[in-house]
Amino acid sequence: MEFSLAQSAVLSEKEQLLLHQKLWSLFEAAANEFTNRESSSVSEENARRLLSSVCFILQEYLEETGHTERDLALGNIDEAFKRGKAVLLKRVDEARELWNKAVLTIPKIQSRALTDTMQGIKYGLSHYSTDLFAAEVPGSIDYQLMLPVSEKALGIEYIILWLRELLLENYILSRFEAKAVRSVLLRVCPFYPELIINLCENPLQNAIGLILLQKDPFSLYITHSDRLALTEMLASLSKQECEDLLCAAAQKICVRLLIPKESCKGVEAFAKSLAPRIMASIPSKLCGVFV
Amino acid sequence: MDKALSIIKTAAENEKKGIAVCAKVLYEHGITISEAETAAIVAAHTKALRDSGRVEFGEGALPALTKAFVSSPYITRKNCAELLSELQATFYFFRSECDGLISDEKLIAFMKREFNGPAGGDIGYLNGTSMERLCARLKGKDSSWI
Repeated sequence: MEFSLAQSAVLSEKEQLLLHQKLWSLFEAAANEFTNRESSSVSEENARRLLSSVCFILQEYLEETGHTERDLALGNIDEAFKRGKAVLLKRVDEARELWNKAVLTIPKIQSRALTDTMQGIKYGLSHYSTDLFAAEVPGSIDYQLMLPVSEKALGIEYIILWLRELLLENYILSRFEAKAVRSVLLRVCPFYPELIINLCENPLQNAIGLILLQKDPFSLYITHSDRLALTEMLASLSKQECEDLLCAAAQKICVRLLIPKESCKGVEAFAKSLAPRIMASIPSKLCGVFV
Repeated sequence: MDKALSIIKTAAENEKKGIAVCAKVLYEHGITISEAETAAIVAAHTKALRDSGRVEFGEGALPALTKAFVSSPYITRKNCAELLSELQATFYFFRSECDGLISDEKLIAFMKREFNGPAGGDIGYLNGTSMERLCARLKGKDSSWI
């Protein structure tokens, strides 16, 4: 996506040449700034980073305004670039708001990885520059989400998507008693606060398991007999049948947990993603899947 | 080089600008290079950039290198194309080695001083002794010696 501007299929040859010349002039300006006008060359790696940033900023402009690559080729690209940077600054504000919400809704469950990641994002947002490497993700992210953000998302867009996912996970966890969630995590590993594990996955997996057994999902407590019953239920299913069953369970969970409709697709996708692990764990009676 | 970068760079025609300035500077000093020699310098330029993993913008370093070395006592009509080709290779290699530690201008000034001085016009000495010493000093954060 970041370089689609360089290889557009919709422009004529002449328009492509025009666009390339304009992209190059933006790249040159960025490279001059990067080198402080002290060099006439940069490493290929830095060149790629700078060009990626230029294209990302222009892409933001196109998405915000609905203009096309042809408009860039034939119009004032400097003005488009300037407006693209202004769009990014608005996105940074949006990210800060999401960060504030996420911090307020983080469950009272220890996780060093989550704490460090939130601090890293805060630092990244305060140092995010639209001038040179805007396509790079600000901040360092160790904490792994239940449903990872696409690697195709760049720069501040990645952070916005990441924080939105975290807000969903925070919401899901808030629907359960913290004590029940901690019990699940302790069964995963007693040292969970120090590990880079996702806080929401195992509790939600247990809730899905309990829904499949038509039991109360809020207890989050799965017994050995429960696991045996689930093994019997799931053992003879095909992958598709397993996914369908998990998806149906996820839909029920969304109703029980009052998860907003727009977020249910995420929960369903997570539930479906359990199918391969479930099928691989049947011999061990689903140990490690439902804890 | 990255495909997208190479596509866009083609549109810029930087190399043509650089070699045009180079030829002009040489001409002003009484050196006219043939088409074959021009092609050789351009080819060396491309190779030097590729080998050092660098992307050039603006006029590039060739004009500055030419201006610095055209008046060297070791450059003649006969050897100038070959010397410029080798000096480009030296410049880009050590540009990469010392990236961010020294400006183009200072790097070229150092090369000129050494080439015309201790190296006595010997590219081998310039590369193996002078430039290696420079890199070691810069990486040790000592630029006072330049």
